[in-house]
Amino acid sequence: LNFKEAFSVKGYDQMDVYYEEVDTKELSIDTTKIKNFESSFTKGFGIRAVVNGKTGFAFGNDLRRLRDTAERAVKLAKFSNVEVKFEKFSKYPKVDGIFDKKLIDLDEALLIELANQGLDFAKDKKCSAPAGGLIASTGKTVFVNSEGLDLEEVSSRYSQHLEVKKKDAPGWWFSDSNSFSAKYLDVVKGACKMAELNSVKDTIKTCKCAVVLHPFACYRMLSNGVYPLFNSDYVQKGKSPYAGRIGELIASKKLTIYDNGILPNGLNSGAFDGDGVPCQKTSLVEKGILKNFIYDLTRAQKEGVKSTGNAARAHYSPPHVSISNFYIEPGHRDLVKEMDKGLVVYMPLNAHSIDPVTGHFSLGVDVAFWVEKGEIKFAPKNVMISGSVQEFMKNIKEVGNDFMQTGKYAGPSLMGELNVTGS
Amino acid sequence: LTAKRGDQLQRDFFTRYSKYSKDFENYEDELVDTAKHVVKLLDAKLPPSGKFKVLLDSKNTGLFAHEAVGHACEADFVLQEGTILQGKLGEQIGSEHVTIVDDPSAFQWGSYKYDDEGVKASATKLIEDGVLKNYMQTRETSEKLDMDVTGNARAQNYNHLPLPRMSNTFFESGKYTFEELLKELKDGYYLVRSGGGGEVAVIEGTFTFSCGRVYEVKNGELGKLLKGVTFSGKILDVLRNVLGVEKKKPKFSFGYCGKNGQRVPVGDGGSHTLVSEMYLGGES
Repeated sequence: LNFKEAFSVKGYDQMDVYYEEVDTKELSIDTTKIKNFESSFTKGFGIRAVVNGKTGFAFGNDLRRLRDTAERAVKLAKFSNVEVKFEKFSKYPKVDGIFDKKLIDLDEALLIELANQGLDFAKDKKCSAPAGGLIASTGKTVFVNSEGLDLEEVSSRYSQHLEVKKKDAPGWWFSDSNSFSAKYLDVVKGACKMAELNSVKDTIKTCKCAVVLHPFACYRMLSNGVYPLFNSDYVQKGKSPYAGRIGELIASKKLTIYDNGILPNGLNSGAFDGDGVPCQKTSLVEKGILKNFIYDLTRAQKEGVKSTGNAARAHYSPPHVSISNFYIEPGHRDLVKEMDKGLVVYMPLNAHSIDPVTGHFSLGVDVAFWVEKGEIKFAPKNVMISGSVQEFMKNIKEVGNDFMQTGKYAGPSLMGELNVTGS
Repeated sequence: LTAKRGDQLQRDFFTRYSKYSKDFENYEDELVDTAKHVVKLLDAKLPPSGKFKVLLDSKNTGLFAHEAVGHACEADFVLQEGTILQGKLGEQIGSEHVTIVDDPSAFQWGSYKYDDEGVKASATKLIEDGVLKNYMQTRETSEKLDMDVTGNARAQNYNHLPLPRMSNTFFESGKYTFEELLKELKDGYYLVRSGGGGEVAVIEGTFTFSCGRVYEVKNGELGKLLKGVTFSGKILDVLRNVLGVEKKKPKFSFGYCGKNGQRVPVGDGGSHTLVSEMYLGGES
């Protein structure tokens, strides 16, 4: 696969090619049975061409049409207003734990055995399992540009999830990692335990109280309400309330946050980003003080700063700025055990309605538990949580000693105070 | 659109998809209207939180039809015993004002002539006068449930297996005028436009949506503009609590549904709908 052949077309100043391929195998569970296997192999490439400072983009799946696609990108450049100058870098980090070769050609029989073990356990616990799955994928990314960069990286992902129901009480659990794990049973146990806790229902009164957001909830709420605030694209468009506030206290002193693109075993770690820029660890917040925003080349050059290696890219679209791993340093305390009275939230509903501009939210809750003296007492009915994510970040009282990677969130449970609407 | 004054930021938005070019004729009017409102919303207060009588506009009526009722009527969820509407066929689950239909043959955003298993598209009455009539089926689910196919098998593309999916899902028109519904509402809130969609837990039958704007209604008259808010409830309670639907023909809004990671175009619609109880997640 010689992607540099694209560079033989005429009429451009700079060019890059980003290629990706993914091989996936998925076992699905449906109505307490193994339903089927699905397998897919997808590949594609995207090409950016810079002509007189303007960037054109085209993509395709058919490698025989690499040159055609490059010509399209050149032709489209004059209609664009995206300005970028490609750069060359010489040093790249070595990132551990992003590829597990066990996930190439994983044996179907093994996945079936793990799934059956899990389903037997759920049955013993008197839980039905409406849906679930085990998904293994491996992928390769290639990046070349006309400045001489020629990069390649392999990665892998293993995800397992299960939804269960005990009578009418739902429970679910999932786990994501870059390497194979034979512990599907842990996911099943997590789901069954949640269903069990969920089957004890009661009501609570409307109050302002201590709230612990489990990493599952942090993932959903922060990705919508907080990640964009650090994104230079938002900042430059005047949409981030953090704009112009570097060096100011914007969050609780308990909070230290990094965008860590080279986190070992990180779900979104890698050696290079979609611009071919080396990935790095960028300090965003240090003990509550705003330190930096995240950049890709386009946005960095606009401000005359260095890219932080945050160009996210898929073959079918030009790069955009995105968090890699939103890493929050864990603390030393078990937040639920130390809670006197309050709510621990696992799954808020409709978190995509959080408006990052105002930070305001009021969300229904799918899974949350009422805690008294460090013990989960019951699942309150019809609760909503409301407040502002920006205020929540300011008022975090404690960060937990747990740590979980889910989506782009890599951090502990967080405790603060929110309005809780009860029955 | 984002408006800023001092430290205050406010966002409002509109999206439009259509198969008809005429639907874009008043595009500028809506842009100007949104710009005016985003500024007004800077100063607007949040509605209170709690249980209130509400009037839903066509956008939020359609959202309820799709998210709350439509998903609960998808036959794969029925087979997984994962919906509160499982085992309720033929039962009166809503008030007599509720008739909800899924119709891929209506020429809207979610239309097609044949589904992705080659079944001819046609209208399916999901709820008629409050009685649950049908689920949306693929060949697989219809076989397992021993019911007729409905032409609702859809896949995002060749990469995916077809699932029971909605097409154009809407509340059928009722018998009241907008003014009559406002009068009947008397004191409550009028929930307008989208605030970014919604989410439903079909097992427990609860939903949380957000609307873009709210108007106070006092003594049957439209009052102050308030900020958009989250509203939530139990699907079955809301269906029982529908007090009336406007007689105007359903207005559709268009978007994409992303069930199981598969994105397909859908339309959802309705006219104004009056509901006696809804939880608003406003200012405590």
